[in-house]
Amino acid sequence: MPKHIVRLITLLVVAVILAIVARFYLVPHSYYRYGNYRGNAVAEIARDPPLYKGSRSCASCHRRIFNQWSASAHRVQCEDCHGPSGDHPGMDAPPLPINPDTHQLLMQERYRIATGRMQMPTNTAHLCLQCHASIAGRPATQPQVIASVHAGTQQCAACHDVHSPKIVFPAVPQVASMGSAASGRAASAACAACHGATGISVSPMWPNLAGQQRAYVVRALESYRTGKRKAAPMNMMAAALSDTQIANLAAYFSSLTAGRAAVQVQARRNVPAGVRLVSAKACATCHGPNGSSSNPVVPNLAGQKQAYLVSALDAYRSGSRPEALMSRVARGLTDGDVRRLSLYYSKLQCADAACKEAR
Amino acid sequence: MTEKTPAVERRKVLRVIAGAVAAACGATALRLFGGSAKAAIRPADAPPPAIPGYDWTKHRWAFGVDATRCIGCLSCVAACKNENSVPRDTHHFRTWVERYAYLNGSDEPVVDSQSEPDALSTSPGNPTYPYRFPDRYGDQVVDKAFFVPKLCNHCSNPPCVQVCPVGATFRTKDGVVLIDQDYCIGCRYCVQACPYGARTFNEAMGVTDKCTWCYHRITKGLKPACVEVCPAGARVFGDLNDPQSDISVFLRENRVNVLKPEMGTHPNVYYVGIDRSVR
Amino acid sequence: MMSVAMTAVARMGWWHVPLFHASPFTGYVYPNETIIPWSGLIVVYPYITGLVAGAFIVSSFYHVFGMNQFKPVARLALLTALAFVICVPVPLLLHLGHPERALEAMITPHWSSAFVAFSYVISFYICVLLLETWFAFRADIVAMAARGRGLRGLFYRVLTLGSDDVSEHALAYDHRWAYVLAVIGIPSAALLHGYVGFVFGSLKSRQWWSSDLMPIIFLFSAVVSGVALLILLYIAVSRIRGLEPDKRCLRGLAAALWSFLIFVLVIEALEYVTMFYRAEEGVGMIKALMRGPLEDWLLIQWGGSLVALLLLTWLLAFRRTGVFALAVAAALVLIEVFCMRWNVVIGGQELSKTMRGLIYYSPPILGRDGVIALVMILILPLLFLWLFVRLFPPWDDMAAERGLDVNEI
Repeated sequence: MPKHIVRLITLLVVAVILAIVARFYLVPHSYYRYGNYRGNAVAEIARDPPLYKGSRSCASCHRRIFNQWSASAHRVQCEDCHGPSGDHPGMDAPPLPINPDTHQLLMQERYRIATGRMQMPTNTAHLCLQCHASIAGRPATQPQVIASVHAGTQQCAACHDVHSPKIVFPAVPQVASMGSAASGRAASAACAACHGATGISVSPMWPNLAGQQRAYVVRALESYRTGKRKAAPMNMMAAALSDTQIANLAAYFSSLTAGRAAVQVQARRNVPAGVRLVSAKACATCHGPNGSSSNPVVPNLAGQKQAYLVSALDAYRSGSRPEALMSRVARGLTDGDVRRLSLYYSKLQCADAACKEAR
Repeated sequence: MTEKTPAVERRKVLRVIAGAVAAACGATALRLFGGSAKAAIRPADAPPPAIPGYDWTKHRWAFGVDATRCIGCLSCVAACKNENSVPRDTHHFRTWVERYAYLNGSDEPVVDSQSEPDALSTSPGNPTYPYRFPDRYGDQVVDKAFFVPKLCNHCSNPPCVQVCPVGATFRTKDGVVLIDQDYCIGCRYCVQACPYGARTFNEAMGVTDKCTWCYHRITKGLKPACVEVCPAGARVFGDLNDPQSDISVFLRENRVNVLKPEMGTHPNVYYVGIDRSVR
Repeated sequence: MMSVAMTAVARMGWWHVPLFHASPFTGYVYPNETIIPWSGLIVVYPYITGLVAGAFIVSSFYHVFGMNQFKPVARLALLTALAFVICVPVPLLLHLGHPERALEAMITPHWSSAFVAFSYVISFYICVLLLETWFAFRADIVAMAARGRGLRGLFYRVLTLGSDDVSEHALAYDHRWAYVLAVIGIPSAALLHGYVGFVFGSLKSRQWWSSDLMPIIFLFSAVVSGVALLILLYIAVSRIRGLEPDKRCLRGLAAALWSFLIFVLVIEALEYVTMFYRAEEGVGMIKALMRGPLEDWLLIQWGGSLVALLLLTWLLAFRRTGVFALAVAAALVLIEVFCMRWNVVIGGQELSKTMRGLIYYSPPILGRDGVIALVMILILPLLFLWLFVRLFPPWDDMAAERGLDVNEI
């Protein structure tokens, strides 16, 4: 065999041996321990410190707020709003006074940390809408609002306690002065021709007023008076009313309950379809689970005239009755939806005592 | 003579080098074959990874998603990014949330997610929530709409692990697909292979990144960060070996589905309340 | 002064390259899909491997199949294959997030990955090509080592491995080894490129890639591109050296290009027809992909191939050797194959895994996967080829001047 061939083969053999030797030293020692990977990686990945510690870890120091939160309907976790606790002392920390002036100082002194401060969100209007803005996709069981309609530019914390939002409305601004039901009764003679002496209207096209929400009636009359809401006879009638008279009429109609018995209860056809729609379109969020609203500016719907409800929804849909929230909801409805919803609400009666009381 | 000397010198030097190489090879061979009988531990006998208070043979993790409960608040996305230092932009996610909306009689949904440009929260109000679903179907008829949280499915038959050329990604004994980021070469083959888009390439680190079910948390008895912060109870996590764990109860009480079962990946994230259009 | 200039350039900011390049999309795509994982570098990589495989096949026409008309390009083809094959790892290493860890694929291979086979096949193939070139040029090396001075002389002397044996006995050995290596080289070249097709075709996650025909399409388009490259190179170097290219050789290359091109076009067309005829779920999105982000690329690919095919058919049918027309056809084929690589690699990623959206990728100008980098990578093997040709002149006429009969080798 010629010399160059021998040398070539020698070179190749040496290269192969060197490669094998090099490989022996280059394979990480924990490789192949559990499989075709570096075994030590598992423990290395598990070693990272957790950043989120969970709401229970807050309880040892912030007991009062924790108790208030855990007794409420709010299931949002502490760290959702206040950010991850990270090196903010957790469960093992001995209690410190929770006084904003001294807290940070003491934390820094005892735990030698500068970064342990939690976020204190101030823009609650932005924060709460992360979960409570009314958007497509959010399940109907989730309370949702359209901020501009619900609160304007107000912060949520103005009325709600953020840790326990169900403690509500002590601070809600009054929509109208209370008015006098007795004076309203005297003035209501002109209304009776259409809306009935007991507030139960004589035509399916005209709404019942008996037991209607007071603030809603005020608002309706005011918008007829200004022409924002258009209906020839009502614009004319309302133009003659003073603020006091409006308040009195509202107080009178909202106090009426006698007429409820006159509402005919029919067989509950189409009820299942209506129930599904009400939940799908989240009507109940504002108008109450039984069509009885708990918000004074939102009208009750239970037992309302069907034809009136259809015309109201059509007016919202076409924009002839300007109302941002309802226009939006109504534009999401088909003709069939409008028919079924109206039928459903018109067939609802005040069933339970709480509802009757509310009226 | 004067011509020969350098050749002789060269030959001597060569011999010394050859001897040294041979000695090194011999030593290696001895260690390789002599020591292998003791050193080679069969995978089954190897002691579990050194994680304090945790034995990976005693757990079998699984994840549940109840899409009917998800409110699309994106707490999970924010928490995941914080917990795992995921880049805070719209292109890198270990978990994300999709929204399916059926508009006005259509049988094909319109899908969006928090990563679209107009979903970025513009208000500086709270840095905890960089993302938000826009109210984009406001005036349209929405027949049906729902949110679907997505994350790595930690498949029993993971295509990403199959294609990794260096064994930098693997499935642990307790059923979690992890990445050894100190060993990953950054070829992104696994990103291609994942049918669920669950993997993302971290350009700054030069390695692939993915959901680990917060392995550093679950091995300490905590829940994954996304499960911990979910205010709606839409995310469920637990140990299949424990019949009373959240996930075992979830699987017993619900009829569940997995994503893209036709891929043969055998996902371990189970869904309730998703539609045929979800993939 | 220098640092002031550098700072001024840096202040201008135009050269600042962002960390990643996100693409716009339509419909719905998974959030992580907006940055496509494999960009232009992975288009260039199969393109270069294809040229290697093709060039090697051309050299085998002579070295293995003994087709004498290809003799004038046989050794040039070998050097071309070598110059391109040592550039194959360049785009790959540039693509990796951690190129310094690349050897892990050979140290701790994970055998179920198609990439592992690549690292071994490419190493083996580079060895085969180096050895084959060495044997093919050994007589020249010995001659040049005897005449060479200084550093260049030392380079040749190292390459001789200290043996100046060019006896008939020794040359017979060289001949046999070169032949055996060429025979091994053909399946290696096929494997190398068929495997590249497998890397894409085996991924079930991407509908545009997931096809059994993928390796075959890659393989044949590789041969086509390699033949086209050699036609261009041969015409170019003949012009540079002031010689007329050999007519028989050119006609042979044209015939090879023509027949392989027909093969490629038929298989690719079959793939489309099958896809649309079956009309499985998602075919609508594939149509949208072809009419959307891929439209221009597909037009260049198919327009280029058809014009090239017509030109070649005309040349062959009328037994013409229009050097210019042949060069145009070859250039069109090179462009067509590049577009085909783009359409596969980028196209597959432009169709979202959700099958509800399309991603519109356009390459950035700067950055390591930018257009400038890609052009430089494509020029690099030509620089190597220039160097190799200077070091080992592959021309028969010059070898004859030195009194060597390389035709025996």
